Amino acid sequence: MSRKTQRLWLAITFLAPALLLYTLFTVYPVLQGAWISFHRWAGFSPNKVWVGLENYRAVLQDSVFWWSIKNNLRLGLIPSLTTLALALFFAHSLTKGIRGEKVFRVTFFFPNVLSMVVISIFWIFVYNPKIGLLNGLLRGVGLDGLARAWLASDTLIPACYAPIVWTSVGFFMVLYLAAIQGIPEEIFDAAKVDGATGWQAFRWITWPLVWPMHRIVIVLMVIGALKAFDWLWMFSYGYPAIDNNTMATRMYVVSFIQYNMGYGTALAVVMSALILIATLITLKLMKREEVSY
Amino acid sequence: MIRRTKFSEQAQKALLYLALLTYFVLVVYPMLWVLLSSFKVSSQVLNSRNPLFELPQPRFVGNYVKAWVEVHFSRYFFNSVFITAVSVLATLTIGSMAAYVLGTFPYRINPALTLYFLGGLMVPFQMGLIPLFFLVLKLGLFNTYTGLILLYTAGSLPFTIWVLTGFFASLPGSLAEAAEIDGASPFQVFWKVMLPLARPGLLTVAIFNFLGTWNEYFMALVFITEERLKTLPLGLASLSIQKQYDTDYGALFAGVVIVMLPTLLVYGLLQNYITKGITAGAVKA
Repeated sequence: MSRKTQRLWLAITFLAPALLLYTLFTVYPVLQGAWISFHRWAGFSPNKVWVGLENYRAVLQDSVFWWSIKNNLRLGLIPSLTTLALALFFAHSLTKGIRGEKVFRVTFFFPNVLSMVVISIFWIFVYNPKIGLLNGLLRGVGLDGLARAWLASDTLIPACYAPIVWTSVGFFMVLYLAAIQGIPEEIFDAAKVDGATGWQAFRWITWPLVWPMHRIVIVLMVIGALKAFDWLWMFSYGYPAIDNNTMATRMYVVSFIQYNMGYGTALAVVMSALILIATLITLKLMKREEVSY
Repeated sequence: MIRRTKFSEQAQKALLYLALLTYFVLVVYPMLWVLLSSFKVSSQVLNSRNPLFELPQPRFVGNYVKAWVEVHFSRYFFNSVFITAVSVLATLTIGSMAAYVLGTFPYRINPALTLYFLGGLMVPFQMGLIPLFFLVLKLGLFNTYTGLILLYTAGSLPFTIWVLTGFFASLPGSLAEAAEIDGASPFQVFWKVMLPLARPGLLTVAIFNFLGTWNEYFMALVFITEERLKTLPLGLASLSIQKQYDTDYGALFAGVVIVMLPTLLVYGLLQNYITKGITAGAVKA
């Protein structure tokens, strides 16, 4: 066997297991999902009735679904802006060689290595009406009137803000750390010689030069907000009140609680399309000239 | 003038530390609170006069005994260790093999294949969830170790291949050529030369897959319903949702600590690789 054939055989054997597993358990279900969305199907029943675009027509008229996007936006806007500000601030502050820098970096990232289940238990106890830390704190400073059941349906969405920020600041901080460390030291030195203040250096050097990272961060945040599911699911034990849905919880309720599989997958297809469009728009809006050193 | 700058510089520094320490407390405090509560009897947690901070009175390890023995955390722990170990090993083997070919062989189809794998990172998992459920059922993999292991492995492949392809591509090709001239077979080049060189990349990916798999909840929730097959996050979640919830705070907190401890250890020992891994992936995005 020639060397070339030997290599070809190796390539085929090496690629086959990954291609097989990935195609079977990831690609095939997604394509099958798109196919199911043209049917009426109750899941376990063998009757799959072809209904053409009927499910998609129903999606267009599904006011619960479209109204739920409002919650995706709420869960996107405030937590993302807070997270971005904190992450950038910490990354900026922790690249100047101050004492304890490493301890802060390692600790701030820590929530990212915890299970969603663990984190949600923390926060369920923070918000617990009777023994919760938040109410304890409010009562402690004499604001008893503000103490309440935070996970009740009228404050459920705002109650998700703090956990979202808490779990994601460390991750985005690490991304910004990498970006800031990639800026050549001489640029800062030159600015210092020219008498730039710390704020000026941040505003005119750091901020524009980490732009490619802003782009990645904002795209990840947009995708995260549109996919939002976990916190609502955990905080409402799988049954968010109708006004507290996001696109993903709506899709989940339709498919797995109402067993309307065809319609559920149509919702998933529309949701995926919206995510793709939003990602492309964000990438386009945030395009700037790239700087290389 | 000089004194005033100095003063304002110091004030700035003090404010910075105040901000950093505040956030530090916000991150550490809940974990400390859970750790303390895991040594309390449930009634002390429930009837606390000061819920913000209270030492366990008396110190009590009964929660751990209860969680480990009565609530089957020993069983969940074994399941999690087994499923995570096999999945991570399978992902690394299969992923590094594919990434090696994609990153170092000059085939014209390679960029397209890389993109094919990358697609898996972009589609929301809910889209394929329903067909996946029936596929797993049909293959007889519902409620089995094998099923969950295959799903975790398939799910981790896009990220693993993405990072490792970049890693293999960045290795110097001259070493492989030299080995070939010395008469090494293509497999020997991979096994004896390239794989050892890729060790830092493999380690980074292994840590991420360990954390992701160890902590994974949603797939386990959908595909495991039998008590004896539950993983730690699944067992913990069902404990926290149980109706008699109020009576079992102690065991719940002990369970949280049991789930948290291994990740804490891995992170503490290997945190350098973790922060490097994220940036390696993101910079190439």
